[in-house]
Amino acid sequence: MNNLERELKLQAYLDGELPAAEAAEVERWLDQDAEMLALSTELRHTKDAFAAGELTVKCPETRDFYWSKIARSIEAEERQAERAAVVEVPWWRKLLVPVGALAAVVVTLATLQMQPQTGEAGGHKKPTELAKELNNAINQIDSAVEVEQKDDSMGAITFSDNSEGVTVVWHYERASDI
Amino acid sequence: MSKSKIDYATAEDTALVSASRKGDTKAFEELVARHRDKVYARAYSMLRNEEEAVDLSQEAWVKAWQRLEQFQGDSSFLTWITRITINLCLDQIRRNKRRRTESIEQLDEDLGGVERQMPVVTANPTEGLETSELRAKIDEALTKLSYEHRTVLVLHEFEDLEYKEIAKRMECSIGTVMSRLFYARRKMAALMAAYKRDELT
Repeated sequence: MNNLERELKLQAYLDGELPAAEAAEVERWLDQDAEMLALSTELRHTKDAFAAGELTVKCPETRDFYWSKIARSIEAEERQAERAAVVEVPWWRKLLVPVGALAAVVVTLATLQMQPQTGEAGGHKKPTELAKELNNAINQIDSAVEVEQKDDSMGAITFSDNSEGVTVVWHYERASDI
Repeated sequence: MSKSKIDYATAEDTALVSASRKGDTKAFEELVARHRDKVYARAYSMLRNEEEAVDLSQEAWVKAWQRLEQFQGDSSFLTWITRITINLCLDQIRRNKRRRTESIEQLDEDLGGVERQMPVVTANPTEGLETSELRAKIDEALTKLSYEHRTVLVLHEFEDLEYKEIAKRMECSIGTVMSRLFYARRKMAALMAAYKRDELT
């Protein structure tokens, strides 16, 4: 055992952190070794000095000023927590609305192209027939791709014209509406 | 926020903690008013910088508010908030240390540097001092220690933490704690002896 190990063991003994079995060894050193005894005296004096306690230090800020910063931080943290608590819409769900609308248009156009020309005036369809077909196509997509709208971050405005048989659904993000 | 019908000024800490948990910021403000000096003092004793100590102690209060549910009441509220403050101080000291890039100096400190060469002080340098005088001398000497030496002394002597607990908080081995504590004490003894000599001359 080198000198430092002995010194640290002595310190542990004085701090009451040495197992009883090893304490006897340190006590033997203190009986036989004057240097260890002197070191033990120094360590004890320092330890005793600390027992007097700490210097009283007062916070340099007034109660109100000190509290105001804490209060502001607490409010800010709580606002942030509230925002975080709102379930975020995953990116793929944000894409569903525009992709769905685009798909509706594509399917409608494809349907119109494939169907035989049955309308009047050289095969052109009436606007009401076109609107009905568009509506049917959208209904087909709606049933194929069911968009479940559970959170409050998205809104929808519906416009229906029964005389024309047209229904337009406009989806939007509420946040962007503010 | 719900408010508890309690007399804040006379309520026990435990009642104020319960009210604070329900969102009563007035109750929490009372806890801050009661213990802010001690929380600030602990931060100051470790950081030795008034501005940093104020900021960090306020941060400790905000953390305490957020973690009130974790307070089990095994220790006093003051002990609990002081532990939060100590952890924040240790983080701050680590950040400061990274900026200082003192690898050689650090190694020297852990291995005892100049403290190894110091003669043993057998005469008690604090003998005859009044308590307030003694506290002031200790505080003055603590200011002259490195962060590591000061922290280990504060945690051991003022917070009564065992070697194992200090090692955990300072993220080092028990051996490092023991050597830092040893050399910190040796340096303290030398500083106190020097003050005594200055007074006599």
